Amino acid sequence: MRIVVCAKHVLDTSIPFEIDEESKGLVEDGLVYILNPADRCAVEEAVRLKERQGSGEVIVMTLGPAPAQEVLRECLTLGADRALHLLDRAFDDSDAYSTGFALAHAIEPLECDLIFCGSQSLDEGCSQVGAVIAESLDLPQVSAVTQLELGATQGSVSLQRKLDRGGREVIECSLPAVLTIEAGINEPRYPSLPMFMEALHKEIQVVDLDALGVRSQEVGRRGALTKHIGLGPIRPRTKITYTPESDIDPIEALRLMMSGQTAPSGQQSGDILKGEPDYLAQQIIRFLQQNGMTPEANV
Amino acid sequence: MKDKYDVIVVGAGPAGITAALLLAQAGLEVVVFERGEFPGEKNMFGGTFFGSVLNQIVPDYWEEAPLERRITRKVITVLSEDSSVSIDVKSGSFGRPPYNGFTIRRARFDRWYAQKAVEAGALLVNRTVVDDLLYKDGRVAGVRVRRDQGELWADVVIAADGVNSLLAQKAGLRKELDPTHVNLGIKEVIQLPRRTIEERFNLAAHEGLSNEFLGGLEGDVHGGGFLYTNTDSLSVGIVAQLPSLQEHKSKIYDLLEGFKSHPMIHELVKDGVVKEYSAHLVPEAGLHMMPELYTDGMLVVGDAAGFVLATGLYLEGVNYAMASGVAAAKTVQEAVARRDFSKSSLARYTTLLKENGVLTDLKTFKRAPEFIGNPRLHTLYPRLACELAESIFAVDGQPRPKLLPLARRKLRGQISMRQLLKDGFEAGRSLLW
Ligand SMILES: Cc1cc2nc3c(=O)[nH]c(=O)nc-3n(C[C@H](O)[C@H](O)[C@H](O)COP(=O)(O)OP(=O)(O)OC[C@H]3O[C@@H](n4cnc5c(N)ncnc54)[C@H](O)[C@@H]3O)c2cc1C
Repeated sequence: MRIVVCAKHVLDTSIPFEIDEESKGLVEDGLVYILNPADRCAVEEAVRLKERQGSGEVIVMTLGPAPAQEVLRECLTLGADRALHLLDRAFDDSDAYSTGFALAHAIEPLECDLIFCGSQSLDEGCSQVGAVIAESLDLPQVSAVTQLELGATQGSVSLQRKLDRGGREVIECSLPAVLTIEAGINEPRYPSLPMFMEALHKEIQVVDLDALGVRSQEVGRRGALTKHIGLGPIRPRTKITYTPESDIDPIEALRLMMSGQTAPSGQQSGDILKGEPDYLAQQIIRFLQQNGMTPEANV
Repeated sequence: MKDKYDVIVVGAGPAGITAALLLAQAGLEVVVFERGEFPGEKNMFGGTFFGSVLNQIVPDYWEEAPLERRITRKVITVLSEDSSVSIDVKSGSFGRPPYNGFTIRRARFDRWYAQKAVEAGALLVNRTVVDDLLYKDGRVAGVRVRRDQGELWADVVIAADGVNSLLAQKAGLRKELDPTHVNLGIKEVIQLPRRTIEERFNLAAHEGLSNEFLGGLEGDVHGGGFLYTNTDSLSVGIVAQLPSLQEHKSKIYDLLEGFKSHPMIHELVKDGVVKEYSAHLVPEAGLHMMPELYTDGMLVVGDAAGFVLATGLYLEGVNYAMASGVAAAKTVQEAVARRDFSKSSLARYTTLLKENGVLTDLKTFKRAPEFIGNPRLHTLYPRLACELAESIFAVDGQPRPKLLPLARRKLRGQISMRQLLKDGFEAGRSLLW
């Protein structure tokens, strides 16, 4: 079984970063890039699948600038057999579509059985690349996979995928297929010394525009369907909180704040009803009727 | 995976990389273990780098190394509570190749330097901590790392694991770190626009300043401060003696805050944004803390061996780390030729260290640590120097005495002439002759 895993180097969002006012991009100095956590799980899942079967090949692939090579190296330490780096100036400023398109072209000749992507990237999180690959190669796609086993029939996999509120869906899918893997599907291994050192000797194959066999207008910024306008700081949505007048008695102010009112008693604009429950209920119903808030028939 | 290499280097700081680079160039199979994500990731230092050794290894290194600014202005300042006296040296030759020194940032510099070793053929294994030494027939013969099946063998292990060298301890070459032998350094990188830095410190583009400070630490803690200009940030920090910190129950970050808010320093760092914060130990007892430098199958280089020159005014370690790496590489090459990695074969290391100046410099300045330990250096003298300078220049309508009577008047009651002369002699003996 041959499995391709698409991995991305992402910004470590746990480290504060800054946005450049002028370019609307990130201030590069001090940024730290890491292997996307969901992609790490995808590599681990692929390697486990290969190990369970006793044979097969795991190929990792990334599209990104030169430093992205480091995530490929890291995937190799996790047990991937070889790596492809889609590297060309023409790939700069790709969006999810042109990234998926280029990756699909690199994947096609490999004749693989499974294609894994992480279900979401830590930095941009658009969860689209897997779908674009599936569409480009005309393959089925299952997203947010939380469990994976070989299927009951030859050439299929049995999957569990994540739904809302802890729900799970079980799916049997024919191969080849694209799966996007949830972070947390497994606990990626801490590579042994031999694994780690062997990975340093494995070759990373660089694939440029020519080798990929596509035209420059199909990839990168020119092939993109969306345009990056800029990044902005998170602007907090303003919320108006009413505070009582400052010149009133503190105890009164506290009472007002706790009851959600703003004006001291005696100056309220609304009515406050007092009395027995029966009487109060009647008054409320009358209020609603008078203001046209209840259908007559029900009362 | 091969399970035996010619050389294992532990630690990809300047010392370890130098040894690995030269040994790989000599055609040996070298593995470097580094615990960081990449070399330099967590390595900090004050900020000035002197490149005389590097220039022999990577000629004209300034053409390609990630450097911040070349140091053309060196200032030494004595601080009292609210005034300061400085010696300010601006040198034209410092600004021309081969340049005297640069400010650098280790995360970039060490990474670049390590890449040189990788290009030469060394195998760099990042993210891997060395936990222990392996022995064969009673001699060091490899290391154990914190990974499954983490044993790797070699003819020689070079311990380049920094100031708190675990390996030198494990090999019994030295005892646990003695707090009186180390200082604690702490630094902030404060961002400021390039132009502001150049205006504020009177520098041209690419030019930099190094400024060391004596005195001015709150509560009379012994130590000094430093300020170095990077391209678009300042490295500002202090180095304080551990026993003195303990004695005064001072927290080092409070001291740094205090230092930064000294009126003189505040002017220099104002409007900046703190981008980084780090702390590190400095071996500072020179020859007094030096471990044995080698044993059967193992050599100790750089900070692990205590090769830092600390004169009280500045710290110089990177250059010595590199020089000791050169000496270690040469020693190992000779040992390979002899096929003898015993202690007596590796004893050449000491000779080579003397030849290339590491041990001789440390010996020249061997009294400096004692002198720096003199409490008057950190409190009384900075204050006197400032007061004296103030009186010389103060115009207050009083008849103006000449310098010596003025000085004598200032000193009266503060310190005896005898004590002053003695300290002066000590200072001279440690630093001047
Ligand atoms: C505050 C301060 C200011 C200084 N200012 C200056 C200055 O301005 N100029 C100057 O020249 N020098 C300065 N120094 C001294 C200088 O930083 C050191 O002398 C120099 O870094 C020593 O280099 P090294 O290679 O021996 O050790 P280090 O640079 O400490 O490198 C040791 C390496 O070993 C790795 N390591 C450690 N243990 C293990 C392990 N068990 N397994 C794997 N890897 C390990 C570490 O991650 C590190 O990369 C300063 C030091 C301090 C603390």
